[in-house]
Amino acid sequence: MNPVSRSPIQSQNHYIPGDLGVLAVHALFWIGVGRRRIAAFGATRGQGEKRAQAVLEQFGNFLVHGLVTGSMYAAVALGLTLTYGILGILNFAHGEMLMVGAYIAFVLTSRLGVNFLVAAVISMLAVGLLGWVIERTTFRFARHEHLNGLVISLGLVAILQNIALAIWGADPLSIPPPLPRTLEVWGIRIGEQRLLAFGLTVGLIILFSLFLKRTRLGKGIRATAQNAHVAATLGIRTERVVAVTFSLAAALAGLVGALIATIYTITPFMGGLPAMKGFVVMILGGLGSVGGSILAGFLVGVVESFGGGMISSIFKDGFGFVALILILIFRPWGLFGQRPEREDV
Amino acid sequence: MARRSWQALPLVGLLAAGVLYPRLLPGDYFLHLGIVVSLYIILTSSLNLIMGITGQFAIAHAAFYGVGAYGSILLVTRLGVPYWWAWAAGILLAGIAALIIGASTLHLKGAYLAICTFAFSELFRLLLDNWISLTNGANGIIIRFVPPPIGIPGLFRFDLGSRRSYYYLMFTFALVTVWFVRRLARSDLGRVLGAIRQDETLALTAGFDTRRYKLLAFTVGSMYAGLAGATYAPYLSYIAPDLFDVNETIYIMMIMMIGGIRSIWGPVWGSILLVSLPQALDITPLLRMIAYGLVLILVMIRMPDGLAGFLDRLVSRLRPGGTWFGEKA
Repeated sequence: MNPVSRSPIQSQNHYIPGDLGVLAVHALFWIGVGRRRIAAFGATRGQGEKRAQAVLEQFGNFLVHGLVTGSMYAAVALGLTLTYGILGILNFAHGEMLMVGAYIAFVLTSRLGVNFLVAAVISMLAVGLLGWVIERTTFRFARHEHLNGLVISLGLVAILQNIALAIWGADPLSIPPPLPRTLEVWGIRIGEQRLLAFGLTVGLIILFSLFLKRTRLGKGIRATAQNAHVAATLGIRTERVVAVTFSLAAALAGLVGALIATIYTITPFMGGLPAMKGFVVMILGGLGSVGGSILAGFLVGVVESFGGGMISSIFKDGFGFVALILILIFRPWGLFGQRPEREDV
Repeated sequence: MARRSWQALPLVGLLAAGVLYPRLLPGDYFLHLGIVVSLYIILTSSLNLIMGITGQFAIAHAAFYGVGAYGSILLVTRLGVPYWWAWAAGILLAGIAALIIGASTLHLKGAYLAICTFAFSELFRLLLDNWISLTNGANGIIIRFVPPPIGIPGLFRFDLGSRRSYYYLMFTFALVTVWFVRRLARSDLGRVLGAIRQDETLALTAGFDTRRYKLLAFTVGSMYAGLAGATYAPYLSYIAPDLFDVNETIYIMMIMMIGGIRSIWGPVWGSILLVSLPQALDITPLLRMIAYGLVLILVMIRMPDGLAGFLDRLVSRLRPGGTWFGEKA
């Protein structure tokens, strides 16, 4: 083979026609599927105004439920993007932080009779502490070696899942929701518990972004993420900042875990899917962009809710992936990420 | 060029070990372990070409492994194509899939590439799960045929009804993969791929069409994964979407890292250790998995270059400059 076949330099970031072909195939496929589903959907309803109202209500339901799920995705992705920014590691064990938080909340509420909100705060603190310990004992030794860090996180996944399995077994558990009623406004039905989870998650996301923007420590975190060496020269104790950030990300996951536990069931393997979604959201939003992660979280939640409701419920998890692939074709650095000048990610 | 004749020594060593293995450790159980180790040597070496040598953080390897397996098996069961033709077609299909996915993702860097290829891999699994009329969905396909014998008349013959023959076949492919990756890594082409890993912009300014080289490495590596799938599926006699999901890719990656990324021999060490370790730890499954996790973490912290790097350091103490075990690409 001849290694010196030359080509114009500018070809690097131009998309070859193959991309467009792939795009066209995807688009045609989904338009075809979608049209049939929407037609079938309309046919089951009455005629005229009643039908329009039903469609609107259905849309409202999809939107609201998408936003609720999206808030969870956003919180998970926020933790992941902070970990990636500071440690340069795709932390696959982030989902297991969620799982630990859920189990702690379960033990506190169901076995010890603690009030749910108190239990949620305690599991947040406990998982934050766990995050601290994990960072100090493992990830500290593999900073910015993303593949080594990834394998370490896989080791943690195996350990945490099997410890949970040993303690609580594989049977799904659940926390009885503290607010079991269902609200109905303008035909949109939603459980109060979901609204509570949504409110708490959004509140926490806002608090967290303010913390990153306004406080001294938050600024230290952002500086360390941008350039740890420069930050250290300027007197930031980067070593501590890294540990604090990891612990904060874990705490966030712990709280989300406690909230998820009231909506879905708790199993030792419950963390896998949210972590995967979190990665997709983080990349879609753009690495290092906190706002991007939050917006992308809501976007993926809504896209999945509409796709799952209108096109195919078994394919629900696929819509987020399709959105990601399509957006990365046009914006290889995510929606709000920094366009790289030099690529040494 | 007296040194040059020594270069083949590790390959000869691997060949000797592979041939002697069934004699030293007889029995179906050890043959099965040998087949699984060979399978992972193929998968890991080819991922090493993509991720280690070319530096493309693509996590869809198990999907191509699945394309090879499903492609060849479906051709046999649905269209009645003779197995060895279907086998070749499965590899080709994996290559075509890699060309399409590679062309639409390889402009991405680092974590972006990782998650985008992951998305493709999950879409493939969802397709297998939901195209029930073709793939029988999550229940998978039971394979009821035995591949016809293959070989060169008068020289050798793999009669695939026996486990021993299957072992020799898989081992041959493993040896070929290691040989190929080693040969490629040392060629001019391999040097270009290494340059892309170290500084893509620089490789580009030196006049290399980096997109084409990345696509080439990705496609060739994925075709080896397809080969692994097409060859292993009839032995396994059962395929299901779960066998080819992202967890499998992560497992392959794990073997590569524990063995030693970028090392030619790392995949061999890693496959031997990670396949036999869970068997060797004779404790309850729960404790076994916890111990497994601890081993992963400890190896990554204490030996960042994996087993190959560690062995290399041992060797260089005895014989300065010696790199038989680690042999970096």
